[in-house]
Amino acid sequence: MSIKWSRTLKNQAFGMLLVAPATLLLSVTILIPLARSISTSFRGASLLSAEQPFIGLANYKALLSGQEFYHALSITLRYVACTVGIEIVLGLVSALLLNSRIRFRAFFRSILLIPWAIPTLVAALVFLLIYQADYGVLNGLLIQSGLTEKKLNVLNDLNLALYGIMGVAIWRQTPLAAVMTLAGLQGVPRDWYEAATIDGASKLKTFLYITLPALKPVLANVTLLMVVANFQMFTLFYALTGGGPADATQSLAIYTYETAFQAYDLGKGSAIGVIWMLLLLLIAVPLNRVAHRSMS
Amino acid sequence: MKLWKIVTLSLVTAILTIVTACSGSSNNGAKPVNQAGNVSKDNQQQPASSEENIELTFANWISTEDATKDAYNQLVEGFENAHPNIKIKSLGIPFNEYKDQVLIASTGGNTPDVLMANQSFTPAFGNANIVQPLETILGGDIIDDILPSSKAGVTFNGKVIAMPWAPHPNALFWNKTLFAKAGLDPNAPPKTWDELLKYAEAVAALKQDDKGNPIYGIGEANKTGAYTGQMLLRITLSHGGKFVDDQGKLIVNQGSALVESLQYLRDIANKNVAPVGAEIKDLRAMFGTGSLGMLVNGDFGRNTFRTTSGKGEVFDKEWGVTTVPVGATGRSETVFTEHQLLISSSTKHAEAAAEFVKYLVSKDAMVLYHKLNGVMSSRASVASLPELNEDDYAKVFNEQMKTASPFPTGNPAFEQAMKETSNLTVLATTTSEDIPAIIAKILPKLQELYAAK
Repeated sequence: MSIKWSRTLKNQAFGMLLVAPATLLLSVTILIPLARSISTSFRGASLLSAEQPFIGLANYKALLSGQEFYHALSITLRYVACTVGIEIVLGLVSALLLNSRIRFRAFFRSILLIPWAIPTLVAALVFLLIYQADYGVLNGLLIQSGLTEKKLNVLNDLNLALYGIMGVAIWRQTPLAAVMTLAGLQGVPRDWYEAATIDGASKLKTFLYITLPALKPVLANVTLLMVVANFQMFTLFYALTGGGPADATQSLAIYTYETAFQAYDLGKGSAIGVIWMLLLLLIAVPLNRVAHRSMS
Repeated sequence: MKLWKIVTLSLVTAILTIVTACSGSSNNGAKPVNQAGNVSKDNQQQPASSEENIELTFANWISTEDATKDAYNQLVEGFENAHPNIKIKSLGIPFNEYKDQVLIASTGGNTPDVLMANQSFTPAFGNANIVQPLETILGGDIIDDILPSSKAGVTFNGKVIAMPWAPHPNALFWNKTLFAKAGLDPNAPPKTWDELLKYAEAVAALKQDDKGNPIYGIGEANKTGAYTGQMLLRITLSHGGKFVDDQGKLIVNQGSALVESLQYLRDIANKNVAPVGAEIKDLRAMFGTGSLGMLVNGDFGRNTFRTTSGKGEVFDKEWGVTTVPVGATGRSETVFTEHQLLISSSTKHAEAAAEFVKYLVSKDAMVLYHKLNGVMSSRASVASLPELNEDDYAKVFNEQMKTASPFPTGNPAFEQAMKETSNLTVLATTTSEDIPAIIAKILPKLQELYAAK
């Protein structure tokens, strides 16, 4: 018996066939390791032993009953909240400026993305030199301008180290937020602004009632992107402070690395990863919904 | 339907190509190249009888580093010439990834026949049960010839599981030019801990050089990291303390040594006698550029300073090296790191592997290695050879080795403990918190680490 396929069905099947290789590749590179990681989190897995006995929730209990996990989580949340918050605000301001009629607009637009184009590790190495207590540019500027007499040792100061890392992240990531927001701004219909002008709306009201609502889906997407990227940030923490001084910058990424590859406790390391993933989902899903709702 | 067939066929071909490319061996006709950059000899013409020929895999990091690559090649060549039926296949892994890579390979059942290690890696390999005791396989002549301090560092549960190869004791380097500028005798380094402090303060009083760069009296690592913890352990030894007792129990807080050591680190930081937030690489660079009066460093310091100074061998005239000043114990206390050699417990060629290890620690090989890289030997009979004591530099390090202590690496948590220990130094040098309070904050974490293993 031959089946007569409608044109729609044929198109759908053809589409599925086209995405099949990508789906297969994603399954191999993401789903299988993810499943393996979840399975490992319930085992007493160590690089020092070939045996991986099932130990139930022991890894999770050990994590949640100690202080180190909460310390790392607190550091990560502070870092993500401050970094993403500042990036969104600075990105929006930059985008508004670059969307207005300023001189050398094209030039500023073209150089805006340079920090983003610099690899994270290179940015970290550059800032290591900038922050260097004896020879760094930062102290040179601060002392010459009379803002401080004592040299700041940013990355070795318990109270400053995290802000030092945030500074590098903000410097590097703000351009992406600005460019995405700028693209969103350019999509707002001109006649909306013309109507507002005719109605006599002030600039603030135009921004609050036209620009901001129109940018809502873009801002939600930028926030989502930034939150995910910064939640996973390892390079800056590792290269700038390695989690120090005295654990003052021990983020979840550093804590996972140390647990899995310095203490060789792969089971506990996987458990941190699983909790970390769930937390990220808790944040990402609502943000994703906001973005989609605004778009529709 | 033609289009369907073409699309399906193309996709199947593409997937098969990807799968084949991913799963295929890397030896697709090309000659394998080892980490030293040489074409591996296993792909050259093989003799007829494969039974007589053995290939040993040697995991190491010296073949990946420019400074030691040449020595590695010459050592392997020397061995292969003396043992025509044994070929060495290099498994070169960069130092930073070395331990993890070897453990991962071993977990997958691919332990290399011979492994290079250091005092931090050996306990991990021992705990993973991937190496075998060496007394029988290497023989009493070699085992009994190991320097006592080195032997203590490789003996676990009464068994020697690694053959000490090249020890790196830490001694005191001083900058003669800065000593002279500070009004000190450039040829009289400090002999006691009190003199060390006095001289360091005198050099630090210079404050800065002609270009405005700061000058410090002495450099001590005080940034979070395992190395900083190890150096605190060295300072504690000079103050009469110990990290663990003979049974491996944590006793670092017994007596006043730890408090005094941290007070010393705090004082030199607060008085600007030492830079704060410094790693050893920063300190080596500072010594090489003439910003540091004194630095405790390993025997590879000479090559490092020649490079960082930009002056090459000429810079040798500007500094001297001596044994670490005597502290509370009345002797020159210091620590040493060490390159070691291990044999896999699963190797099918244990005898050949033992031959290779014996060759690498032999007189001929060590003289060659010393000539090329200035390394020392952990064997008493070799360390005393005139060829290894040809100048004052070599003599100082051979002398220092006599009183140097191995790191107590027996507990697999040692490396993590050292990183945690570094927090003692960090808090002492960056806060004004009471030192006993700092110790009370960090010590439970160390105890927890040691109790868990």
